[in-house]
Amino acid sequence: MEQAKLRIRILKFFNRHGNVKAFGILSPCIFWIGVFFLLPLVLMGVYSFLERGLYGGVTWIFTWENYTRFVNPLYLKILLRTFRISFLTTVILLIIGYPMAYRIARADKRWRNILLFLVVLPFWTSDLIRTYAWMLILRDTGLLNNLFQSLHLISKPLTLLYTEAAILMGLAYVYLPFMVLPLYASIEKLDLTLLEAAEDLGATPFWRFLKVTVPLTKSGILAGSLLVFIPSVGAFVVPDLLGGAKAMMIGNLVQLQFGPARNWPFGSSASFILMTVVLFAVFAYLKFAGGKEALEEAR
Amino acid sequence: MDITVELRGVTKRFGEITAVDDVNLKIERGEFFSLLGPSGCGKTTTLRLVAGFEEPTGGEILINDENVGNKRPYERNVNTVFQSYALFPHLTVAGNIRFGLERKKTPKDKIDRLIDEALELVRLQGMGDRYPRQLSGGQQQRVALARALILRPEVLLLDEPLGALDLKLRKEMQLELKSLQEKVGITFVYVTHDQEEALTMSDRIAVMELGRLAQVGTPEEIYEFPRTRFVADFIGESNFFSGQIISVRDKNIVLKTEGGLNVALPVDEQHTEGQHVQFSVRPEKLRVELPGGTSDWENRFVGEIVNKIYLGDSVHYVIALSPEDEITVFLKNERAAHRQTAFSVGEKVLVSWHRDDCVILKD
Repeated sequence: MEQAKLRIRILKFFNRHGNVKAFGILSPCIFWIGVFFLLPLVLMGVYSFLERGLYGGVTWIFTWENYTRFVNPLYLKILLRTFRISFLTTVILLIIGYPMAYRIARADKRWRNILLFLVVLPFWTSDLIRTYAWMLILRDTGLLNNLFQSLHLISKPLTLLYTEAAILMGLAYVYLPFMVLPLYASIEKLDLTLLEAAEDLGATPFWRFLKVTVPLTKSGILAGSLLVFIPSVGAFVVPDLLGGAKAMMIGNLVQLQFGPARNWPFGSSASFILMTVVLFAVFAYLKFAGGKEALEEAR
Repeated sequence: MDITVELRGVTKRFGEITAVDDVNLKIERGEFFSLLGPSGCGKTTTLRLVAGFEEPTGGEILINDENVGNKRPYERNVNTVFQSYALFPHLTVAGNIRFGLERKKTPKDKIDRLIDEALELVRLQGMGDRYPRQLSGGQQQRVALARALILRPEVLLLDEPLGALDLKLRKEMQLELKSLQEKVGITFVYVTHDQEEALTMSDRIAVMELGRLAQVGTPEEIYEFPRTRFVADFIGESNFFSGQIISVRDKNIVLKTEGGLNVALPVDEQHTEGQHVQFSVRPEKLRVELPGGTSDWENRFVGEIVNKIYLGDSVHYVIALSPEDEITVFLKNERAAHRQTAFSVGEKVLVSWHRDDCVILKD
């Protein structure tokens, strides 16, 4: 009896204080993000202003040097390359992914799930292993070069591995599902009568695509681009294995600083610079491509 | 006769299913033409064939004497008002209207004027900047109409455009649509399953059944002289009787129903003695009196009221004329003091109807 009364009092309290209730429901999530995301982030922010320790770690002396050091053609080139590659990956995946997602969304119901399953199937193995497989295909004595040589298309093996093109291909391969799935979701929702209406009002297939299909699947295009662009910018397995030292991306730089170079503060400042630039890039993208609505949604 | 749309032996099959089966139809310029039938009768497919969303399996579709069978929708001078309106959610009302005008390469300075004109036509002045989701169902309906009408198509196709509106709004829109059509003078082809809607608005109606045309005619022709049982049953309500013709004398036909009633049928020369036929008679054409009443109509039978349904403006009676012949009668609720509408269940009454109100059906 007492217990029931207490329960009612607790429920009443929560109903009166909605924000307390919301906090209660969200507490696991707040805990998780706080401990495993915010705390490390703050830690890295602090580290980026400290001097390096001799064997890794930090010495507690304040300095700007980790940031000023980044303003150097060597590092700026890496940053620029990172953005160039990520941008191209996103564009390539939009071009490949859109027709793919469209076809899947318009496929027969029975086929749709099978095709979607095939899209996510590569996730079943680690992308490390899949990237190694690409090395076997692309290297000088790899599958492609052997094939071209046996067909007498080329006399000397082509340099395919350790190029920007190899990174581009590897990233496009790894992130394809991230592009296709959100595109699929928005294309699948697209009301077919609207396409008929467009045609009825005189729009040729090209205009129909440009003026109706694209605007109405914009949410998928935005989501897919961001889901591909952001991890591409931070990628390090693919550029490490397929790009090597000649085509380093910023993810590799950060890894290098925390790992072999044992310069945690510089690794931290590089991460922060990357994060800031990405934030601005994403903001600008949403503003440009999405208009006000997408920006609101992103907030 | 000035024909806008003509269908010649048009057939459409989806796999095993024949949705439209050898339809021949001529629709005159400026006509309000309805395709009426139950769901699955092929009326919407017929409309989609004219719009160009489907290609006919066989036959020809002519618009202004030009065969458009293989033309894409954007190559046809035909516009559609969809059941779901199909307004572009990412465009404003003005943007939706502008869409078609721009595709038609209308000069820029003319477009804005035409948009205003379109909005005025459907009485939505000042709503141009709103988005479809900010409008009520009736307003969205009007935008869909304006968007199509402003392109001045040869034919406007309407696919149950009032289906999603509530009853009161639907009645209003029926009248509005009809007057709008008369104002712009464009040929309307209107698909509906609502017989009342078709009767109210149409110049002519084609009743469809299982992909075929069951009957084409004016609302009066269809209602007063249904050719088949299907048409008589689908449009309004009917009493059906079948039996054998027992005498044809001076063209006067007498039929004996299965329940043993001798019924006088309208004069005609096609029917002979011994023939089995079916006929229908509308419930509102019947007269009900106390036995020994004054009716001098040919068909007079005494029966017993077995059921009474009070509907306010009218009363429906089911009267047993013989153990096997029941007939439904609709009586208008005229004067309360009048004995006419105050019969009660179990009472014996005299039911009568004129011979000419019997319609002999084809099948």
